[in-house]
Formats: sequence, C-alpha cells, structure tokens
Amino acid sequence: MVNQDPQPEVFNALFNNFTITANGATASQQIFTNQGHSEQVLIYAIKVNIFNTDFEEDLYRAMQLQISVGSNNIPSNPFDIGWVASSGDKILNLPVPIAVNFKQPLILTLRNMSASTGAITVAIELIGETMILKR
Amino acid sequence: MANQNPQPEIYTTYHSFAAGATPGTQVIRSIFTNQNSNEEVRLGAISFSLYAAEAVKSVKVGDTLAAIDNDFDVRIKIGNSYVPSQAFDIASTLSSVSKTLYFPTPILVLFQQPISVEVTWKGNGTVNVGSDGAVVVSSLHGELSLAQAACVDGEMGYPQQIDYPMRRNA
Repeated sequence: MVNQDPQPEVFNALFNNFTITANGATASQQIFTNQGHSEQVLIYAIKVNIFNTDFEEDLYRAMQLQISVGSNNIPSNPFDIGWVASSGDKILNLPVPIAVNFKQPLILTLRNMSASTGAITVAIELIGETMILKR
Repeated sequence: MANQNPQPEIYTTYHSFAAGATPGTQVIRSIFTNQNSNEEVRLGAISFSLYAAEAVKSVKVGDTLAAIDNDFDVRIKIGNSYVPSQAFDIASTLSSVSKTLYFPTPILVLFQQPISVEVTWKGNGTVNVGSDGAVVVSSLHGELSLAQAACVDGEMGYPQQIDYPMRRNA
C-alpha cells in the first residue's frame, strides 16, 4: 500500500553465499511488493553488485539474471549482469519499465555462467515506483 | 510475444575466442526475438564486457586483464542488412565507465528478421586474446512493442499510408 502517490521503491534481493558448484547453477528469490489491488509497480532500473562472501571485494564474472513477473519473463530472455557490476554506476537502466500488477509474484533467478566454483554474494536492487492506477 | 506493451528486452550473446585465434577471427551469434507478426523490436543501445575465457571467473574490479586485447570490431545484422551499415570498434566502449554505446536512433527489427551479432578480433599489434582465450559478452537493449498501424480515418481498408498510390478505399 502506498503512502504517497507515486512512491519510490527500492526492492532488495540479496543472494548471500550463493554457492556455485557448476556452470549453470541457479538461485531464486521472490520479492514482495505489498501492493494493493489498485496499485501498480513500475521498475525502471536494476543495480547489481557482486562481492566475495565477506563483502570485502567487488568482483565481476559472467552471470545471468532472469526476472519473472507473474507467469511471464520480462525481459523475455535472461541477460548478462556481469558488465553491470563492473560498470561505473553499477546500474542498468531499462529501456522501458517493467510493470508489476496486483498479485503478480516478482521472482529473480540468478544463473552462473562461469566455470569457476565457490561462494559469492550478489546484491540486486530493483529501482522503481508504486502508484495508484488511474482509470 | 509481448507480455506488456511496450516490454523491455535485453538480448545477451557470448562470443568465445580460443587462445590460438588468429587476427580476423570472427564469432557470430544469433538472437531470437520471438516476436509476433504485429510486433516490432527497437534496439537503443549495446553494452559489452570482456573476460578471460577461463572465465569468466571472478576478477576483482580494478584488475586489468593485461593479456587480453581490446581490439574488437562489431557488426549487427538485421535480416540480410547491416545496421549500422559498417562495423564499429568497441575498444572505447569496453574501457568506458558505462560500458554501453547508445545509438543516435534505434535499430528497427521487424517480424521474422533474424539478428546476428558479429564480433571480429582485429589483432593489431603483437598481443593475443590471452593464454586462456577471451569471451566478449554483448547485450542489446531495446523494447518489444505492438506495431503502430497507419490507418486512415474513417476507412476500413488494410492499414496503409494516406499518400500510398494503391489505397483501395480512396
């Protein structure tokens, strides 16, 4: 439920100690938007940080992210986020926003694309807004 | 098929170059947009990153992959045409802060037009693509939307431009 209209939102998903045993290993997390039935969430950007498990070092490696909204994947394909983590502001600005409606589960799935194994921590922030739908 | 209109799209391709690759080696990857006949894709930017092939394993930011040459060219093929019309160098994009190149105007992809991203290692100088080879990762950023039909007010004919000489209902 929004406290102002629109309301800025930053949804965190922390993949703490994401243990990679093989290329293709995946991990998922669900984000709860807590929106009312008359509200819509728009996600404009994604911030990515990859750390060692002590949060001491920034790392980068080939890794893919898939965003599922309801029963659909938006964007329709998984995409690489390694370059986002190694870029200056670590933010990927989406060309157009992702719309999340009432009761649509928002799920992030990470997929390792590297041959190396071990545990890492991936911090993802979805940056957007919640607003009341106007009819 | 778009699940929302418009829908953001990011298409990632991986281009692997073996350690013994010779200058001029080209790796081509195709992208499937899965768009419908009434949908179009507009690509506004492309981002790149470069990894040692061993890969794409963890590298601390700030470390330099000294053995790897940035000297790559990229061409984007839409259908059977190149858009932009010529290959462009991505060394400056790879070494930039944003690692992203924004196009002045979007690349338009229509129904059943395959996209190919062609990455060529030019190999100037004496450096090579690294003892383990290298991987260039490209991501095309764009949107998938329903195509806007150019209908004529008050007419029920097939959507067409108002000055099209073969208008059936004119």
